[in-house]
Amino acid sequence: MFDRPHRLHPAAIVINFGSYFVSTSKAMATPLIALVASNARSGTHMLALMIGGFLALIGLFSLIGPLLHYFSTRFYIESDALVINSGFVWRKRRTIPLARIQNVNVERTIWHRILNAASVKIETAAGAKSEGDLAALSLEDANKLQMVLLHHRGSVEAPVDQAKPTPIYSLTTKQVFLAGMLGNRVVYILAGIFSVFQFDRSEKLFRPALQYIGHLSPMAAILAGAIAFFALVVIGWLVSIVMSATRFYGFRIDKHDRGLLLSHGLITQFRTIVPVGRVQSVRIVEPILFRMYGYCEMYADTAGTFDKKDVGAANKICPLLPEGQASQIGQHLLPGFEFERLQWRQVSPRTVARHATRYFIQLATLSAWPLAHWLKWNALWFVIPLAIYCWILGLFYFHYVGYSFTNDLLVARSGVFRKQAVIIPFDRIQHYTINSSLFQRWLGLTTVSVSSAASGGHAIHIADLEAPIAETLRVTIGTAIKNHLGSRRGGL
Amino acid sequence: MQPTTPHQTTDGPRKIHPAIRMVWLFSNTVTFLIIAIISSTVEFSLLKALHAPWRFPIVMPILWVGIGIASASLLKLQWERWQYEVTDREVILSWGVWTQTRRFVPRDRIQHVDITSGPLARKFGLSHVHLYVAGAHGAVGGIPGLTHEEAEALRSMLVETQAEHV
Repeated sequence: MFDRPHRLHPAAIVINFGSYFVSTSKAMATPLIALVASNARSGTHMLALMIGGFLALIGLFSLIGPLLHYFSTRFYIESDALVINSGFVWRKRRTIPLARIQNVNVERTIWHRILNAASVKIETAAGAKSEGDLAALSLEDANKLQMVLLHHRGSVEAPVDQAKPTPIYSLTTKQVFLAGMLGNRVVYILAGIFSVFQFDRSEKLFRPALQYIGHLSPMAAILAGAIAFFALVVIGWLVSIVMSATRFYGFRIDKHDRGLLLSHGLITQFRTIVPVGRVQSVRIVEPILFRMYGYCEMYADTAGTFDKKDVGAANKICPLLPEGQASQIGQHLLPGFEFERLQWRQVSPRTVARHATRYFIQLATLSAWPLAHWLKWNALWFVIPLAIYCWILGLFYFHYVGYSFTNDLLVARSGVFRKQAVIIPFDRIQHYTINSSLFQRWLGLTTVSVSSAASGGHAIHIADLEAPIAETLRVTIGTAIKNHLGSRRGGL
Repeated sequence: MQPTTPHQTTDGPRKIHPAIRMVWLFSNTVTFLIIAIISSTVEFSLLKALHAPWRFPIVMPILWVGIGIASASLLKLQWERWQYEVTDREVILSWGVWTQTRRFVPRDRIQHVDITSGPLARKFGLSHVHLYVAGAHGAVGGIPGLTHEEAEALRSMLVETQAEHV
């Protein structure tokens, strides 16, 4: 089917041009805003010329790359491997063994849909980006390639199974909006504002803003700050709703013979197959607002997906899931997954003192300078409520943190505001570590950490176990790994 | 359960070569010297900007020389704490003075093994062995201070365990 070199779909030129143009424009947006603000008195014609010249330059550079990429790229399947030849000046030949492929995503942006094409992104366990990125194939070819690559038995003539997927879970439009309403992107907006100020070298924006605040009375300054903060939160909330609606519109999970098929997206449509045999860990995340409404998010990490920023939510299995349904979806990812029936074990109560001390040092360091500046020695009065607050946080931490294990799975949960449970099957553990800091040794405590191949950012850390209990857990993990040798599902 | 064949082991924990202390001493001295010079320059600039009655940096040189001496005095303890053991199933690495760590890497999870030797380590006839597993950023374990023969023997011992799938 793909045994001879294939070109990309000509839509790749338009798609790549668009993405090059957008990404370059995004990168140049803040210096451009700062430049325009700094030269606001130069006259409209001069400004229009500057902006026009800027965009024309970006456009020109953005066109050369896609043209060269289209004419130089060929892909085919040869001896159990996908080969992608690309590059005009620097020729590159990338060979991805089919057996090493972790995931294949088909994505359709609005441009793909207009041009009846789709992009295919191929992930292995390595790297922070997709290892194979075919910018545009015809929709039919993209779906066929996804099936052939996920078959990973090397047969180029592998029959493309068109068995109808079974629906497992879907989100209504109301739930999609709710998922957005329970989040807030205010941090993104703050980062954008700070980056504009950072590029505002001549201080044409920053200084007037400071001067304006300086002229206000203290009460008016506090009121203005509160209104600005409230406005930012509302904008962040609206951005979150829009982002959720565009990304997760029509979200549904189907059981597919290759794994779980996730379909979603309003403008860019994602069609991702998560190969369940290759799931390394499952995470159930409960941010504070989600928890209040009885919902959680679920992630399934396959090797290498934890930090792939170019794949749209590839490891997010479900953006909004009623807590009671976690096991229902989890069982499709990890056999024997029964979250509600887990017997949780607590860590040592001495963790309260250790965490309260840690929170106190962090918060005191952050607040010491501003409080001392404003209140002088009276700032020391804040030590008492701060200590009480930190102790309460420590108690909350102790109350939620815990671990559990069954014959097949190790589970740990942690977090105060954003709670998270990480589930790693014993047959996916890559290495585990026991460590204790000086402070922990004084308290007779130890931390046990367990990593899978997807644990770059999401290893299990069971902090502050009593030393003998940690040793028992260490032996349990070692024995369980030994007992599960040869039972690994899926493989690479 | 798959049938297992006995693997070569180290027959108990092993210490690393004592000459590694000299390598650590040299590299720590160079590192602390660089940090001391940079931080002293910053202190000098700060004193100048604040129009302090003296310009000669005192705090940073004393601080970093102090840290350097403290670090040098702990080298023996650091060496004593470093141990490695290859059992039939796992590689066990133990190290650390302040934070004590024991890492267990199942042998069949090891994807590849690197042997490296910097100019200073070569001077003392030493190599480092680094272990890699799937999905990790960089090596999950590095055993410093092995003679070239020990490093080669350890490498052969570890790669005989055929890395299975993830």
